[in-house]
Amino acid sequence: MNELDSPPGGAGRRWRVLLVDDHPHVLRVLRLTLEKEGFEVATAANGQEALFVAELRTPDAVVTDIQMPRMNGREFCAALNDLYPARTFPIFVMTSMTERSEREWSSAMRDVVFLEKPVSPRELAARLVARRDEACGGAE
Amino acid sequence: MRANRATLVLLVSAVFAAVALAAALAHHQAGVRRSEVHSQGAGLARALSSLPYETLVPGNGGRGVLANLLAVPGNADLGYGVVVDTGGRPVAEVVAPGTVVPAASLSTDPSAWFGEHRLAVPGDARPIREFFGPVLKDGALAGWVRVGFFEPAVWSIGDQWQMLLLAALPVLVLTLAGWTVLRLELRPIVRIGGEIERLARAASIPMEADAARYGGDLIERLGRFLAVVDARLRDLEQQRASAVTGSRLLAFRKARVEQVLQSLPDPILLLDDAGQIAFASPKLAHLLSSDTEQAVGRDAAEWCGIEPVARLLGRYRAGNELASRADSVEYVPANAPERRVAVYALPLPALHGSTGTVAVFRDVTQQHLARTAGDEFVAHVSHELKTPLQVLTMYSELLQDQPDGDPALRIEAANAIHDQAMRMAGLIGNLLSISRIESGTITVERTRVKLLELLRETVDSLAHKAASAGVNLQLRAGNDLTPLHLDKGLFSIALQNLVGNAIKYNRPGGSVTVTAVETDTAVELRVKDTGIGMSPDDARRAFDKFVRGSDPEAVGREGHGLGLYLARQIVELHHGEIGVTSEPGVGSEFVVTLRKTPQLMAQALS
Repeated sequence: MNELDSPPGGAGRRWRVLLVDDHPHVLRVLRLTLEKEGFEVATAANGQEALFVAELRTPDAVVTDIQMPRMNGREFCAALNDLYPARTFPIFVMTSMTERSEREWSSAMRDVVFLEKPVSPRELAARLVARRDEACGGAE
Repeated sequence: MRANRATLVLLVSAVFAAVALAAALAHHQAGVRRSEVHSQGAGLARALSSLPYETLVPGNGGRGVLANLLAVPGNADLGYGVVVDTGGRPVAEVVAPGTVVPAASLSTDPSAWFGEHRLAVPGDARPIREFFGPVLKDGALAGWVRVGFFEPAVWSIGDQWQMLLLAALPVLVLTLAGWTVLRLELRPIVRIGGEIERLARAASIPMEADAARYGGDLIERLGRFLAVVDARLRDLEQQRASAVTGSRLLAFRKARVEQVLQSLPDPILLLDDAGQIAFASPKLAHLLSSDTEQAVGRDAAEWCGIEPVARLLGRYRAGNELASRADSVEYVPANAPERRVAVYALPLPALHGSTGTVAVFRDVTQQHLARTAGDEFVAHVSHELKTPLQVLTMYSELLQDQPDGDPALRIEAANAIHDQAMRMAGLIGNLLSISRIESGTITVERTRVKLLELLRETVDSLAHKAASAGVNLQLRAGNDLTPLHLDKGLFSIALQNLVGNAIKYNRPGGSVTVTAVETDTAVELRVKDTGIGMSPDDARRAFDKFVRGSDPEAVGREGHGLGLYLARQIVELHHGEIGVTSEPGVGSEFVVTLRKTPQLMAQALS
């Protein structure tokens, strides 16, 4: 599927983070923050767009909002799993919904992390850095 | 069959009658015989007396006439025939065997030559009746001729047994017949007597135990029995009358109670101890999609077709340990999936040893919707607040991390923060207003307001928003509008929401027109847009709380679903009306009508 792909976690390669949110402000600020940390950022305004981008280049991490028009976060995650059944990259889900049902489905899926809004960009960056270091360290 | 008086009397009198009859007959017969004998005897005596002496007394021992006497049949009673001389000595005689001629003295007096007399025979019980006559020889008394007959004994039953039988037979036959008839006639009375006794016993009336007596006794008993029965009947009649009244009253009360039960807004199901239906409100047919006409007597759990309800009802029967505990369940009616019905099962306290359960069916759609709406509201508000907070967090962090960074970024951050803060303020303001209005704590402070000014203020405050949305915002209102007494703060919120919506749910290149028109009776405000419009269903619900509409286009735009609701509340606080006409893809027009009430038009005091 991805001819342009290089093995994930390879040292020296910048991590690709896919940001999905329908609020342009969120995309803007997170992009700035993550790029500062050395991530390569791709953005999408909704799930469909994000799937398109993800298919082009396998991301190393996905950060997505839940409340989006046309395809919500849950559907998006399910679609990602279909696209990458043996997915090794984590999905971070940002949500303001604290209902149990939200936690249930996110914990039922493998490697889906629940982030409650408001999400601090610093915190998110830190978590992504940690994952990257872990992955890179492991592949060594 | 016991011998009873009548029978006894009959029998005895029959016997007496027979005997009397027989005796009479015998007597009569004896009398007849006697006269026979008499005539025979007297005749014989005369006849013999008239015979010449020589005939009577044969000289030379020859047979005399006397001998023929005995030979003549029919002279069974003849005892003897004898000729005696004047001294009484027999000169010729014929005597029945075994008979002795009794002595007799006869008078020589010619007046007494013929006669009869009775003589006793020694050694013989039977007396003799003798007839005598003179015997003349040569014209002078030579003696007498004496003919003696045995007198029949009247009471000799032995001779008379045939006659007795003859007499007794008819008598006995008559008696028997009479007795039989009597018995036949009396049998019904006997039966009545028996019946009376039976009835008396059955009705617990004491009667003497003797059903077989006739006559006045029976009539008396019958009379007494009838008196008692009559009293009883009257008693029963009274009881019946009061029972009828009582049952009518009961039926009326029952009908009343059933009326009440049937008219209750919450239909009920009444179960007995065994879990069977004792009463079912007709309204249940609609809620349960089960027939209520034939429900009574059926097992409730079986009759009810809805699973969770049937399970609940099935618990309420004798022997089930859960039967004494109230419980409830909710279900969705099959024929009304948008509704929710709660069933409350309440065990009844024991009444005359029987318990039972009443199940109340209540439409809890509203509560359910409220609950759901409440949950949705909380989720909604939390989301609405968290989104601006997210932006605030991000930009503030950005500013913190890059204090000397790109000034353009700093400006962008400041603007974003400001916008979001304003947005949050708007939402919170709306929520507070709604809360105050709904709880009734709001006070409408009317001041004299020039509508044109208010409208201009609103339009001005939203001008930049309209500009950035590419929407043309226009105001058409004259300066001649009568000043109105409105709560300026509240009313401007309502206008803000209406005009803000018109801009928000619009398209680049579209327009929003605000007009105000005054008539004799009202003031009309119109906010017309060329935006995305609403379907008729959405238009109907546009003013409901938290309703964002079903159009994804609308949902995509930021909104809380509170603006129109609040606008309506405010308009209605001012005794006005608000409505909308809309067409999807064309646009919407909101109309606020304020009737010119004295309150609205009051002249300013100052």
